[in-house]
Amino acid sequence: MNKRDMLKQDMISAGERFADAFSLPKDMVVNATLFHMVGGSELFVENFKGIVSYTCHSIVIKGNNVKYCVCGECLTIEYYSNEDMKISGQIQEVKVIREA
Amino acid sequence: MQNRWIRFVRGCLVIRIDGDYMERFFNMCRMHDIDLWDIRKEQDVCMCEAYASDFVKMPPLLRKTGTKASVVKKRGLPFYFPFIKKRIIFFMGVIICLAMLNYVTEYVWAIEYVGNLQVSDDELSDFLEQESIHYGMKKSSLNCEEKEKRLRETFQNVTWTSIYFEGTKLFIEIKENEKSEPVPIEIKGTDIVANESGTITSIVTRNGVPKVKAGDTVEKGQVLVSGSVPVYDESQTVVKYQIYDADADIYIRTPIAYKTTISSGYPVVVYTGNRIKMGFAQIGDYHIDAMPILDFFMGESKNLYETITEKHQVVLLDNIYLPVYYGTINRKEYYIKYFTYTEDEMKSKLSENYEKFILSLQEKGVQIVEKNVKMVKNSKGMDLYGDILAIKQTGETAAIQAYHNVDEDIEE
Repeated sequence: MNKRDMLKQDMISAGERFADAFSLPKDMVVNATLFHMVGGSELFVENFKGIVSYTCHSIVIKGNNVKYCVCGECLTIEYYSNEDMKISGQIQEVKVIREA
Repeated sequence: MQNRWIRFVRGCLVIRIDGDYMERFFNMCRMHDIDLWDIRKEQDVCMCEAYASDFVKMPPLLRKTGTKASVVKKRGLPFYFPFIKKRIIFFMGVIICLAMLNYVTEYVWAIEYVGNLQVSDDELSDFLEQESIHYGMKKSSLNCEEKEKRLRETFQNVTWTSIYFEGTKLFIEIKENEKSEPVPIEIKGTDIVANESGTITSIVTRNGVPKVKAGDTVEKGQVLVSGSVPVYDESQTVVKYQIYDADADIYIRTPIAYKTTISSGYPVVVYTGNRIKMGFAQIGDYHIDAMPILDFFMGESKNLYETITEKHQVVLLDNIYLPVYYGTINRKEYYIKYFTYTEDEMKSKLSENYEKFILSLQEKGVQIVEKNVKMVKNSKGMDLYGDILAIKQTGETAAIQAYHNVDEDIEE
């Protein structure tokens, strides 16, 4: 991890602390991606940058500094708009891929 | 999330995306505010849906990402316009029909009375006529509450009323007072006078002073029982008169004259067998049938017709009565043929009529004491003269004749 990344990490943790101190939503303060899952078949995603890859078995979503991998079967994107997206299918796991 | 009705109204396309950088294409669509939905992977290609208006914004994005898009299916209202344009008359007809239906349902086309036992339908119809409630009136012009009040005021024995609409039918629902209060009998003061001349056979008086006795001969209009009863003092002088309604059973022996005539010729309706049955339609006051056309082509016939019309009103959904009627007109042609009775037939017919008359008298409680019959033949037919001596109930009420005299006597 270079100095720039370390600085960024420090800023994020500072933002988290700030959000905790003033009871503000963290996704707004640190620009974090918000996942809202309903059962095992529906997943609402907000505040993301885009799709990195899409197959029936996995969808990789680019967040702010990290990537998220939604794994499952018969995955479809029910809608994909500027604000949010909805993934449906048999979701098995949601993984966070931290960039080295 | 987009509403599917909005998608239908705006019109959407099912698009097949093919290429190596489909994810980039989706991201660029997102950046350019192009909404996509139902994105699913099918082998190497992706299927998705987008608004038809957004599809025109896609070509630059497709070029940049090196992907190809092809329309698989079109959905939504904008794609129905060419279909509607070709069948404009049909759709105009549907719209006009709906508009007319909406228009006619604002009026009353049927009236039904519910719950009336003592008050007849005719009385209620007269009431509605007085209140200017009729077929074809606008529903909004009727103040139901006010008319309910008027209905209760008009009919004293009506305890509850409800005037309401179901579709285009107006219901007049009433409840009547089943326990009617006894009406106080008002004493007017009446005599009983003879209906006809004859001899009194019996008289039983319940109220009043009898003026005749059994065996007396009376004339028509003579007082039989007087309603003014004299009150005497100790010196047997009339002090005053008390007024009653005279009541008595009086039987009189009186002659009854009977005469009946029969003509030797009599008409008989003979059907020719020519029948015409056809349908008709009526919209409001306009009647449509093919009978005038038929008369025009067949020529004016001198024969007569018996016409039976069967009429039905068009009803939608059980309650929406429309001013549209349909039915059948059944017309049977006939002519009148005159036949002549023989003398025996005339006698038989006259005797039959006479027997019926006697039977009707007996049913009314008249006792026949004596009867003489004479039949006379003349140029036109035959006459029957019957002289009957009968015992029957007599007497009809009339205002007291001596009343004013009584007052004057008392004043004197």
